Amino acid sequence: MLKQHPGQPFGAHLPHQITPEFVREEVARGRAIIPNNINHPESEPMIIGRNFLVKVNTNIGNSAVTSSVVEEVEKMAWSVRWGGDTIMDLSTGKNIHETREWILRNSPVPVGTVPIYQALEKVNGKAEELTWEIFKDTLIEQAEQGVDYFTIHAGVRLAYVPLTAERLTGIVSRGGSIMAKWCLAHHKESFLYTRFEEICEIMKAYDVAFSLGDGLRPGCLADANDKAQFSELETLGELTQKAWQHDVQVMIEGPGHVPMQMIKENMEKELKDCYEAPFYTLGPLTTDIAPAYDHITSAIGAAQIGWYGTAMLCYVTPKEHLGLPDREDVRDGIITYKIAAHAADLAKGHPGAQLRDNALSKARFEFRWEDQFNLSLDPERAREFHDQTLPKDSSKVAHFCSMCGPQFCSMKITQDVREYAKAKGIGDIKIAIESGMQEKSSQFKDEGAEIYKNV
Amino acid sequence: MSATSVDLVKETKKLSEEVSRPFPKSKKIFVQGSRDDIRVGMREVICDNTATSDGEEINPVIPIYDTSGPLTDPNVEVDLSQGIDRIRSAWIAQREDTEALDELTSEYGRARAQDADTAAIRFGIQHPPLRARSGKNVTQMHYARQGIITPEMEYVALRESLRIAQTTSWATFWRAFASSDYS
Repeated sequence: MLKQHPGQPFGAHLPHQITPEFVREEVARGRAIIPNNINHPESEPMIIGRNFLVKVNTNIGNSAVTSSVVEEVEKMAWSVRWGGDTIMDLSTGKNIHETREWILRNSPVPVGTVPIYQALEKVNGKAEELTWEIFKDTLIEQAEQGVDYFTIHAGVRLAYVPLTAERLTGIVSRGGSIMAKWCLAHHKESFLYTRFEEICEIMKAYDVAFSLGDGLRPGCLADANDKAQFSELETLGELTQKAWQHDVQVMIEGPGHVPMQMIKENMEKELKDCYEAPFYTLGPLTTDIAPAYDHITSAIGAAQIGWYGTAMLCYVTPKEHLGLPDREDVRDGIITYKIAAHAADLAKGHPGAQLRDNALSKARFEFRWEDQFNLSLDPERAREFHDQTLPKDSSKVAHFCSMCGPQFCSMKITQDVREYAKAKGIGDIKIAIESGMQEKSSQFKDEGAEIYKNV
Repeated sequence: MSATSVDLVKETKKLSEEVSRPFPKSKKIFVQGSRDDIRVGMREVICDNTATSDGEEINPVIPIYDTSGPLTDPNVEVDLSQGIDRIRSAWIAQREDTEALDELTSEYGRARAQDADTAAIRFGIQHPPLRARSGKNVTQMHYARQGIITPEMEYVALRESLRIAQTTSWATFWRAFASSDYS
């Protein structure tokens, strides 16, 4: 039950016992963050860093039209139920200030936002009319409500905007495009970049962590790892150093759309250029041809980059690129990302990560169906799928399932082999199989050696 | 209170059963830290015993990292209009580096607090906002660099370790494990 394969941690250091002192060192070093605004005392402390369990972020947010306060609070509760480690409130409509208050007062997990979205609402959607004063007031407004981390696209520098001109899909980050538009309209560096130290002053007065936004992330495979993306990443490294001079916590946002063979380069470059600040990636999506299944295209990349060292994975739902996710989409997205994160923990060799796998496998082998459901990431759906073909309660103690039926269950056969070995007092399974075979063989010969018999 | 706000509060008090019902055969456990108010919530899945020809084999409970806090805890009555427990308030206060402000600092926040149109959907309680005292830095990174281990850091350490050895059924399991052939 405690068996675990050695991992390949790619330089991560995973101690057998995580001590408070180890946590302190990692936070001091900037290799991990504990996003805990002093105005969000409802949140249970959690850590984001490559030497800890890989985390999953889920997004909620109303569109301008729908969504009442109640619905938004329910969405938050739904996300944390399935295992979202943080939530980002990406709401854009009216009443977002009031809705956010309800969410924060009831959220046991850290809440992140992209403050430029709300600032843009305040200037009626005209990016060029954004000012430092409006933005600063928005930061303080949200910091005093208790937002735990801010996505800030301070790495979108004026000189990088032209680098996106040759791209297949240009700038796909909403925050990135807002800031690019502002830079071009004013032909100046953005106030996020020029006022960065002033932003740090606000962050440290409330303990809001930076999530330095990747405004120039690739929006398709063709644009992956290009000059625009990597130039911005280098700037994020420079800003990380500045934030750390103020003892402000930082994580770095990452792509996007990247084919598998190019994923590792992203992680290595981030660790080097951003001094091992935690990486927080959206996927990445490993192919562009599967709209409606982008939770899967992206979870493939997420599992890989999580293994290489990404600390938090931002989930993607089946509705990505298509529309707003409903409740079932959110659940599918979260479970898909819990799979990616856990697969990464196992591959890194996180101590104890395999215990749940072993427990579930043992339950499966022993036909303890209820335990198998209950140990799974989504017990409700596992049970529902089982019951679609074998709805009776008696089937939940049955030593088979509907996949192979009672006569051909490999697990049942293996168990029979083991029982046979035990009954015959044979310690070695191989010998048991051999002796069982010989017994069958003599029986076969004794009965006339006919392959087909009338029964 | 207007009719709308009464309705809203009534409607918003409780989460729906669908999002808050506990998972089957799971229970919330709390791992105690060095002080009474460090209680790290986890979920334990209770497994059936295995029937073998030699009798019942005990299967240990399996601890699971739990992000849902009190929202799925059947022993906690969550009233959304009050908010959940403010578990870190004492830790923050004891550091004596923050001040409670008399009013919100942001212009927008102040304007919204007075806005009649949104009064009906406003959260009913306004906790005074906290801010670092002048010259103070309240980040976890700042404390860490001073060599201070905060309750937040200890909480995280317990949470990440999934302290299985502390739970009683594991003690039973360890005994069974020591004499089993699963190693």
